[in-house]
Amino acid sequence: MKTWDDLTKIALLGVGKQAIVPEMLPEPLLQRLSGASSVDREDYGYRAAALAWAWQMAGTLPPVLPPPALQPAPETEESVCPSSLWSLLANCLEEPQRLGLFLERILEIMAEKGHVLPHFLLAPTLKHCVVTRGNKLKRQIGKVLGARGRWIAELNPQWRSLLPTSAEKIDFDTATALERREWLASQRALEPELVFRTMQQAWPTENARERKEWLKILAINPRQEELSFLEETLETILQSKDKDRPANLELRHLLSTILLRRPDSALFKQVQTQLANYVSAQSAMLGLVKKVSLKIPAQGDGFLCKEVMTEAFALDPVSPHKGWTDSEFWFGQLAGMMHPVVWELLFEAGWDKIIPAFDALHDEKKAPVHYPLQQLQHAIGETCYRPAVLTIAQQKGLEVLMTPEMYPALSTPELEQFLMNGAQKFATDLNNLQAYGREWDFSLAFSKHILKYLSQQKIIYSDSRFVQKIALMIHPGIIPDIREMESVVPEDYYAQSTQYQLFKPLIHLLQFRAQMEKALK
Amino acid sequence: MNYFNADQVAALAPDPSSLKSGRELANALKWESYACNERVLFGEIKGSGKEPYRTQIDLQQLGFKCSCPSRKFPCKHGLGLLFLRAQQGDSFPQSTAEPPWVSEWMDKRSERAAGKAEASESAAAEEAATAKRTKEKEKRDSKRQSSVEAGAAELELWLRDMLRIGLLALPEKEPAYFEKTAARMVDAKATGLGNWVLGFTKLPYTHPRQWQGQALGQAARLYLLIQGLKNLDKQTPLVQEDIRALVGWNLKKEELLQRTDLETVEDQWLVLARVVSQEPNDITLYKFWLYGQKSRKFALLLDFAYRSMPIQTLLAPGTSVAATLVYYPSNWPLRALVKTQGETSPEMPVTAPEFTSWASVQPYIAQVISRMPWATEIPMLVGPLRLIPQEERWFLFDKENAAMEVQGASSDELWDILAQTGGRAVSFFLLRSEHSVKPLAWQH
Repeated sequence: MKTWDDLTKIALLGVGKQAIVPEMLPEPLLQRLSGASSVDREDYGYRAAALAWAWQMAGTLPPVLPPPALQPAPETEESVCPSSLWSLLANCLEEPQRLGLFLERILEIMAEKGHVLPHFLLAPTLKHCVVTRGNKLKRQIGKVLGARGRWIAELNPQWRSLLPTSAEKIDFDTATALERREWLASQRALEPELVFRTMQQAWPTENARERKEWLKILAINPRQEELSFLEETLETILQSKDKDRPANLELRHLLSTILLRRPDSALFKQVQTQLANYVSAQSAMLGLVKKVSLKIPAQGDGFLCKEVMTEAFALDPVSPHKGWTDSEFWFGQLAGMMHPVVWELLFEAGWDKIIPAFDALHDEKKAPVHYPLQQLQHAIGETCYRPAVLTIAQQKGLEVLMTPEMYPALSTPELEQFLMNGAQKFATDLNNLQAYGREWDFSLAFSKHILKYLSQQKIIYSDSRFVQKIALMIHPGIIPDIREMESVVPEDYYAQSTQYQLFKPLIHLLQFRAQMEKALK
Repeated sequence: MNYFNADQVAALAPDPSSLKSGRELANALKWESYACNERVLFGEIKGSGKEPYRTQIDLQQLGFKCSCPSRKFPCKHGLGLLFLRAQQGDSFPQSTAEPPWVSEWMDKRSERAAGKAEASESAAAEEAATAKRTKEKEKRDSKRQSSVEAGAAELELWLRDMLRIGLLALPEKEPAYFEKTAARMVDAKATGLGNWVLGFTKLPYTHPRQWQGQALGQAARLYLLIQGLKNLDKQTPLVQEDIRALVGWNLKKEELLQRTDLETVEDQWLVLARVVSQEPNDITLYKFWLYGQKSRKFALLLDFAYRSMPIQTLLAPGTSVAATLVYYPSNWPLRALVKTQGETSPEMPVTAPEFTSWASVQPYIAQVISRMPWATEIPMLVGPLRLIPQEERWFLFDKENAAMEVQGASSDELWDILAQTGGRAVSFFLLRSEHSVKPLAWQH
């Protein structure tokens, strides 16, 4: 190597400046250069270099390094997904734009069945997940990597973030705020006890902003022990000097909202007792309740007053709405914060009686009452409070009161029926599809309705993910209908676009789905 | 029954769009009918015309036919049918009875294969005519020789100037500087010399330690080639053939197949790898690396395609094919042509590596370099080796922890190999160049 390096140095500067001389060369090379004259510098230089190149190429052994620290992947027996699925997975990876959602679905089903990816698909799938950065995909990939996949992902810094974060994998003291939040959120359902203890321990040292984010995590199905913690926390803030700082105001409001959504919390019960003062029931014969009504004091009282509302619930001190009294405003706010069961408890009646009570106030143009009703709907949506929704739907007509937030409260056939009635337009983009709160297999009747509806929209279906989503939900028996619609001569640009960007891809995707479902059986 | 797997089918696709379309057609719902038997795979699929397209694949001597108007070869229907076969496995419908359109084509192919054999036998009878053609060719060659010699003399001066002034100026040179010289070599009918000159534009100038040594090696070997050309008569016949081939004399396939003095090897050839690269002037170069199961010899088949034109070589990596290959005349025979091709098997038998450590490889390298100092890629089967990433570089460790650096492979390819091998020691098919290796295939 030294000879070669010496020759290279001279060649870089040029033999015009420094000649390559025989003394630089080892004996075996010199013997072979015996016929050449070093007077012709270029000729001698090239001949020497050609020999030296061959000499070092043929004689240089690679260096011996310390044994590699890398441990081979663990050998485990795992259930690899069926081979019939491999080419479909490869398809999805090669055409992520067209089949990305199908990849998510395949991985999701694989995870449910406890299947893992074959080794040869690990690298391309991990690479795809890094590029795509989809949260859902990220969640799924962690479940189908298997031991080999986790091993390779751990080695590659770009893939490491795709590994599921497990309890023992985070150092809570040194992790960033985002990492902590992600860990708490991901472990909330898996290890609620550990999450709560960790949160409780770190709570005193956290700032208000971070505490607010943690409360949002804790708000998901809080356990009894956690409710006590929330109540104590609210109490502590209320007693602190800086309770009215904006950050603490937000915290107080959030805490009261969480507690008011829980009928078993002390705060809920306190408010329930207070609200009972505004409810009156007229009894009919034999003690049956004939009519219930609500009456909100116009000037406020000992409960609907500035001190209580701002202190306990961190509500605005005055009504920001013209025409609403402060007490009406506060009542509306409280109604929205509370779990809707409060009305059943107060009225001791079903929703067939409760709704007219709200309506009566509404008819009297008590504007804020409409507001709590809307808020109530939010609460219903979140808590899947189906009886209320159905009663509202029955009495008022869904088109009046139904909002996307209430969709989760409906069963799938009810939702389909509602959408087929045309009360609410079917979503034509991916974001609004999420409002349904579920992905479901469309019935054939609903599929036909939706296909017709989509074809009538003057929309360019340029979002291939929306088309994929529909293809994953629509009934497979719809293909003949699509073919029929596809054969119609398009009337205008939109219709033409629908044919090429909706119908044709849908047929392909449905065929792909059929293959996928067969392979996954 | 054996059949191609999806990877092997994918390797047959002439371009990515055909691969994509082929995969889409791997859907039973799209085919009106399909079946296979030991020798042929066939199916009918609805196309844009009234009649369905009829697609058939000779499974024994891999061949495709489809009534679709596509100029691609194989077309998407052929690929789709093979993908479907791979997907359905043993549940793919079998039929010993073939429709007339299938049996007619298959019979014709068999007749043609038999005809080829006869033709090659009668070739000997045409020896006289060949001799005449050879004479005419020699005349033309002599004229060309003068032109090449003049070009080589000019290139020698260019190289001498380069060494006298120093190579340090090379990174500053515009590509046009080399392209101009290369173009003059093409004018002088010495295309091979021109390609060597263009090699200077591909040096890794961003890595000082690498390009400096590589530039000197490149220039010195080019100078050696010119000296070899100047003293052609003093070389052995095989070295003469090598020099002529490197300078740019192409041997016609037909002539090669008729020559009786060339090394011919009949074997079960393992298709180790296919490397596709884009060359200037819209040419795609396909390199098929083969390894003889009995002969333990490597063979390199080259095929070229202009734009999206199809290539003639239908070999999928991971398969093996019974074939007789004719090696191009060389002091280190590597490039070859298929003389006769038999059955293709979707199985590639496991082959014991030739070398078990980097130290044991070295005598082989020395032998190759002594026979062919212009060799740029030296194929070898080495194992067991462990592929290990270390500080953004990749190494292949042998059992004594000698570590050869890996270069020329993309990071994606290497991570993929690591995921599949699990960091365990396996056998690799490698191409050695200078001080690094490029893995092309591996097996347990």
